[in-house]
Amino acid sequence: MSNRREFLQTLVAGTACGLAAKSGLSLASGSAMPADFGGAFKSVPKSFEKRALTLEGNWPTDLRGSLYRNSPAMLERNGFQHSHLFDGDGMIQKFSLGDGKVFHQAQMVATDKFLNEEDADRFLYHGLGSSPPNARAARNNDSANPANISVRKMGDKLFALWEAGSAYEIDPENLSTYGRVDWGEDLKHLPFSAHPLRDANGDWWNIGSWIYSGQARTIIYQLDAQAKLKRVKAIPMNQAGYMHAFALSQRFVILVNTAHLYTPGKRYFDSFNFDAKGKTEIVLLDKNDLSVFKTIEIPANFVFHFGNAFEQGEELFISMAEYRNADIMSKGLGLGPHSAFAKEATQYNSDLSVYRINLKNGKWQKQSSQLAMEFPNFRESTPFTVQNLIGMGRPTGTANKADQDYLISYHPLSGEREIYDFGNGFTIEEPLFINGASGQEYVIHSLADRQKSRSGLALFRSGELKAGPIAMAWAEEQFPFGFHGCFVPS
Amino acid sequence: MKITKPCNPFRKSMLTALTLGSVLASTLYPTLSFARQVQTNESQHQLTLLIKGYEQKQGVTYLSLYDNAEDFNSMNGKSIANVQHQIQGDTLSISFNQLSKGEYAISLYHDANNNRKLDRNLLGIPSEQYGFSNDVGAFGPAKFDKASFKLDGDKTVVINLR
Ligand SMILES: [Fe+2]
Repeated sequence: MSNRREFLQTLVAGTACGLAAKSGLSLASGSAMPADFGGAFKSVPKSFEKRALTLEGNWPTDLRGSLYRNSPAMLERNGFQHSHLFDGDGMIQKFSLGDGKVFHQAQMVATDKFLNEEDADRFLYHGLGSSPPNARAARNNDSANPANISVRKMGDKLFALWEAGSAYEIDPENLSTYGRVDWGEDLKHLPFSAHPLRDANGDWWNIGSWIYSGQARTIIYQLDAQAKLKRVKAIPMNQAGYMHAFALSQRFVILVNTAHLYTPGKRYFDSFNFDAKGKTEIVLLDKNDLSVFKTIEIPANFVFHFGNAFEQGEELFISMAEYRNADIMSKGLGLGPHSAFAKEATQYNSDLSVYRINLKNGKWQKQSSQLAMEFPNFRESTPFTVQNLIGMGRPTGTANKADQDYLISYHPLSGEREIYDFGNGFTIEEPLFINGASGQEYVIHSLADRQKSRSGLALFRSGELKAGPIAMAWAEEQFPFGFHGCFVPS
Repeated sequence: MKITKPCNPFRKSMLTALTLGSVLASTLYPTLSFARQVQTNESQHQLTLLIKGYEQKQGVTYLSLYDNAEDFNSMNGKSIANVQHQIQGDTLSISFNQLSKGEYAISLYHDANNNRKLDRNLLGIPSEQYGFSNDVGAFGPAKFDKASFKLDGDKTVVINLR
């Protein structure tokens, strides 16, 4: 521990942030989130130097590339502690694989917000769920943009993504920030979600959900394979529901407009109310002209993430990590004692569900997996095929193991599942399908060993999760918890 | 958005109201015009406006003064005075003389790129700075009952641009 502390202090020149044992939202605590959590999640260093990790097992020689991940890292400044995970400033972590070695490095995204707050030495803006003292009014949707949800490569460019404002372009090599991205003169500062999706022809689609100022419209972006804007359109919505991501099928852009409704309030999160008696709408937009093909009403739910969608004949299949209500966002991702990261916090469980929609008559049925699976991922190169999804989470029945996450594979049609259990005390992060140069498919994810306060990588042979990781790589310290990322082969 | 060319400053009817049916109604200002001379025996007051919060140091501020709810709320171009002014430094000061006692409200925008309009994004939301008296209008065009203030003596009103 003392080594780590010295290491961190050399990096955090002069900020004397009284580094706690846990970095960022480390989920480091072996026990439940302490009631006095305020003291437990201090600043992380603003960068991690490039360092080799200690390897275990057999790292395949055909696997070369970089795993990029985004973490809401900076949750504390000048004594003020953010109270919601979404409010930490983005830090891009990069794991470089190749030549029998794994390196890690990380760097804060130099957003306008981050730079202004560095100068001021305090948080200047209201977060989504936190209110620092003497906060400034946001000038536009990028004033408080922390670029902290995902990092994705589109074309040859790497982007740090938030959801309510612009993307930031990042240097894929050294992780420095080039700046804010404007897709067009009249698109400045507009929402661009953290979950762009690749079409089968190489195009990219994304949404931007505008639910402010009394209007609800979803911006649909279509970019070409080189991330140049091809088309943009704002689609009026029937309700101002929270939308974090979307789905794509052969013919449709699929919006799931949740029952977590926005009406302007003081803070962003105070502005949302889950309308349990209301509805969620699945809106199918025809890719050809972005007209509404069909709107299907389902009972009020809440969703962050989707698996892939695909059409078979007259049927459309959409999988989603579905929640009964929005407590996961309003409370579960808060850093208080009611956090989803606390032990026994099963009330926040999602259920990976597959909706099967008849495209002719709009009738639907739902198949529940009984898996509280999150961060679902699929093979981006074959987006509209029937395939098993991977994610992290736990079977919904195992309430006594609520603090334990598993790596999960789930097939949306057969229900076939595979689960790997690291044992107690590990935090599993978003898994991705990746391919070696020889074509071999693997599953990779970052994870934290909370008892040993260290972070690392686990690599599995795809389809053989139960056999356990074939290779691992460990740092000597714990990195901030992250949301999403991508693997870029080299 | 359509752009109206500069025209006879003294023809009020040329003040075209451009409402895009969205957030903020804007008015085109042909050129400098003056406060209405009010021929009454009521006491005449001076109103000084201090416009603050400029993010860009170039461009022109277009400002309208209204004295009734109907014209303000409809942005029908029937303002009692319009001013266009280059900004000077961080704050712009504009004064109106000989105003009678009453209720007034102000709307303005800053045309930073000199294209004679309030630029808007895809959703019709202003991408240039704008403002209303009482600093209202955070979520759309302000109404007169929120933006208006009483003038019964000389007064200075500060407006912070959004
Ligand atoms: Fe996400």
